[in-house]
Amino acid sequence: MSTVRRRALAAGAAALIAVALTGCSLSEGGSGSGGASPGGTVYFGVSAPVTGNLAEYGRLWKLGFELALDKINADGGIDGRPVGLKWEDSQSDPKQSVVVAQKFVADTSVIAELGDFSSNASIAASPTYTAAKLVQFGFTNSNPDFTAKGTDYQWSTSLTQDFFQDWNARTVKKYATTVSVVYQETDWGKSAFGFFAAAAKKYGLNIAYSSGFDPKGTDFRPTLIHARDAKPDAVVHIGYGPDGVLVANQLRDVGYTGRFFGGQNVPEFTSGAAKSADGDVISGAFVTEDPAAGVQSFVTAFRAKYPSEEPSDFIVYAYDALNTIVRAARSGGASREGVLKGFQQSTTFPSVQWGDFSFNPQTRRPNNPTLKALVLKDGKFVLDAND
Amino acid sequence: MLDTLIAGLLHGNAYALVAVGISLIFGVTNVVNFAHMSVFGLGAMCAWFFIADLRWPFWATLAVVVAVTGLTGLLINLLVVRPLARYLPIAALLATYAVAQILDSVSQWVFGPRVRPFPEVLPTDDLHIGLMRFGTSDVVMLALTIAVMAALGLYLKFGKSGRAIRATSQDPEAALQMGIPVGRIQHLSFVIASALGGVAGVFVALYTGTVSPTSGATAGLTAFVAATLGGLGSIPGAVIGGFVLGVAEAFGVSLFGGSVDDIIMFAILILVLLVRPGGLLGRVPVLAPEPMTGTFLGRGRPIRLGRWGLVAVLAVGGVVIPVLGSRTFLTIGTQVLIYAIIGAGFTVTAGQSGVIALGQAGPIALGAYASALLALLAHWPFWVSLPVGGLVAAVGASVLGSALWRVKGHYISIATLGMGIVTVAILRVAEPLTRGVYGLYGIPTPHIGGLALDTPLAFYLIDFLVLVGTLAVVVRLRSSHLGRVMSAVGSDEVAAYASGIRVRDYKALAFAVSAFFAGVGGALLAHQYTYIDPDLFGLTMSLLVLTIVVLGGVNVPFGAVIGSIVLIGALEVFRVTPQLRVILYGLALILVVRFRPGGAWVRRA
Repeated sequence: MSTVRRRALAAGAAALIAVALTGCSLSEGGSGSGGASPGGTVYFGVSAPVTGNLAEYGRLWKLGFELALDKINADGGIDGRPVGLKWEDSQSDPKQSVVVAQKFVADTSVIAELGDFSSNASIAASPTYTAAKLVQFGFTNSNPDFTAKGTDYQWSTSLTQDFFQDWNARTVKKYATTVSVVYQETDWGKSAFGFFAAAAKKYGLNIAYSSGFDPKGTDFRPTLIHARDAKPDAVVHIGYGPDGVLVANQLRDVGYTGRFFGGQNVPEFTSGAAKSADGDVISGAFVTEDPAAGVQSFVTAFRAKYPSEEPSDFIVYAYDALNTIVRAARSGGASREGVLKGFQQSTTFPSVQWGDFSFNPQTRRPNNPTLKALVLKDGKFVLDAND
Repeated sequence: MLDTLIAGLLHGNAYALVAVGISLIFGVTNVVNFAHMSVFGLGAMCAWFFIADLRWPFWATLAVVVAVTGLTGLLINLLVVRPLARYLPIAALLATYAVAQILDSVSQWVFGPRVRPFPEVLPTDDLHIGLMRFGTSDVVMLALTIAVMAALGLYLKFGKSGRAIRATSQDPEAALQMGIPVGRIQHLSFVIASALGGVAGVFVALYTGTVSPTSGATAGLTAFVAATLGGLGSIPGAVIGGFVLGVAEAFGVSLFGGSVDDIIMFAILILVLLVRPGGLLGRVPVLAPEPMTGTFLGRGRPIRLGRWGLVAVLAVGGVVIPVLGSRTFLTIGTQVLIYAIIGAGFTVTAGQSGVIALGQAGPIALGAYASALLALLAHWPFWVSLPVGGLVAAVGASVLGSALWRVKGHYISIATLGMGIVTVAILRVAEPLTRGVYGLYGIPTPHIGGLALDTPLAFYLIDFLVLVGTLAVVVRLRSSHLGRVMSAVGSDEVAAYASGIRVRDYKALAFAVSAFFAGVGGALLAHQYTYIDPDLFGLTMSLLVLTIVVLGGVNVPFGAVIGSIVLIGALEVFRVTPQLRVILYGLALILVVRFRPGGAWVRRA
């Protein structure tokens, strides 16, 4: 190759890098100045699984956020400024959530962040948010470590697994004395099982067999045969909706006829395991027939905006989360410091899940939350009459 | 016991049907088709759509699925595999991976991401043996597998086009000279195999009871292993492989618990390949150059940077970017640099010794964990734990890989893929030390004196220096006597062997060198994320490393830098359209491979 062409190539490569570089810097500068101007849109960053195998949760979040946004902006946004969301796809992957965090931190128009979906994606990004003094609102992060090992900047409305599993074991004890437990072989599933086992001991619930399963798998029969052979009164599943369907159905395929506890209140589970998990009791944030005014106005607004969708837990979590963080910003001011101040000083936050609630400033989780017992009947979770 | 056996057979039944298609395509085109998994998923989603949404009858739906997936197969071969396989099969392999990503994303886009119950078009729990219930669907699936196996067997043996398929698979050039329309025959086998894949998707969905756009990926990998186990290209082998794997997995999980299925699957594969290097029923590959790289070493020569070019690149990378780059840009830059380090090291294995290893995530994970644990538990400074991480990766990968070097051809790729997954699975199981799936938090960032180097800029500069060092070592190695011996092994294994070179030893050595740099890269990742867990080091990471290297040119250390910029940069650039991100990424990958099949940093000879 001639020297000229070689040089041209090298120069071309350098130019390409330079263009990419300036492009990147410029776009950040641009959005930064937008946020500084008073009266402009106030942005919250959303770090979420938009693609990948957890994308369904990102989609549910979007339904909840958009609904909350309509009302927030109709009520004058924050101090008269409209509220908007900046979405970044992390696939809920810790590797990508850190890059997303850097992006939000650099964008001065973003005053706080919502997400990520899974606790480990959030925890990986926590140091970045903390260093930039940006509130990270991990509203689905049930791993206690997210806030316990975090700083003043990590807040969550998600109840922690120790709370959930204590409730879970106590509820199961009402129906059974001996159980087999299968749990997701993930950080989430294993720690949840640890809390369940501790609570089971406390309430005198005997665990005859327990085993992890790979949530990416499709066949759990070999494990479930053992669960069946332990002759339990009930089988408890600790996992998500999609794997809950498989566990419940395959449990029936290996000839188990006793009670099943587990799954999640998501359409994936209720439609797929309607028959095999009938009578399943789980804890819930919300049911549509709850007469509480907050729930009913939410359901009405939801059905008007999305006639073909069914409201479910993750939509409610997202809806509540945006309202919570907007309340904080309205109280403390539409800035990064303001959001933190708002979280620390406001005493009541609105929610569909519990009505008005407050945060415990030490744990940065809700104070004295309550759970509703839901029972699966004909493919739908309804309030448990026995509760 | 009996129940577990039944569970295993039912599951193996599902694997077998998918494995048949993979084996067929490989036998004819010599291309490992990753897109087959997505065609499988596509078939299942289509069936769901026509049955649950449009209320079509089952048999009509099956016909539509056959048409749709058969056509998809034809398009894949016509547009992607065929044009590329002419240049080199490895490019086609990567392109099929890109096609898989595109198909999965399109399917997710069209149908939405959620997991749905698959309609029970055939009873799935009306029969039972003892307590174990199964359905007419399972019986039909088994009958279908046997029918397909018999029909394909007879067709390949006696049918006119069937014999043409076999002739093409044995020697495409000779077949062409005998007047066989090789192109059309390859199209035909893609259509048959893809249609089979689609039908398999429907029955597997019926078997699991749920369906989602990404359901192909998990089932596909196992079926892939099943096809390799049975012997790539052997249809009965694929069926046997499927059943063996299903039963072994069932008993393995039953005995050791749900977290060991990966280890069991690949341990069986590696054991079988050691005893029968061509799989259970496959032909043992003859001693020949690696089919994927051997032919193109002479195809092009690396572009030389020249002195001023080198100065310019160093100045841009080491001065201009650190000074001007924003935090986000530098964060992406650190990822690019780390993958460039891993990739540049990997050219020693993939380029020089000609082994297309698919399991680099294994040594990366070893290095990351070693360095992180030394820093966390023994409080070693980063500057010491970094090279030690590399050494641990080199030693660990060499020990785990020591048995593999007699395996050849595509089988070595699959075996190394297995080794990578087993390495990570071991880290996951070694919970007392590695904290398993909980991951390691709070890995200390580098320090100099009391100064914490925890900003994107500091990371960038550290990574840049390590990359420069890596490139210097790898380039120096290439021109050394040792490096030339390794290159000789890669370009013509037979000739090298005949010249008295102990081929296996040099392959192992090259692999250890690559593993060292992979480990260093992993250690850098660990200290910059400050958090690692086994899931980070999955198949995607291994494929990314290979793609980076192939994109830049397998024999060109600096090419890995280009490949890394393109592949990691592109995924970030396309972030502007989250919906289309992966699709555009896949398209870009195909286009680059199509127009620079020898590598981006290679000019045609």
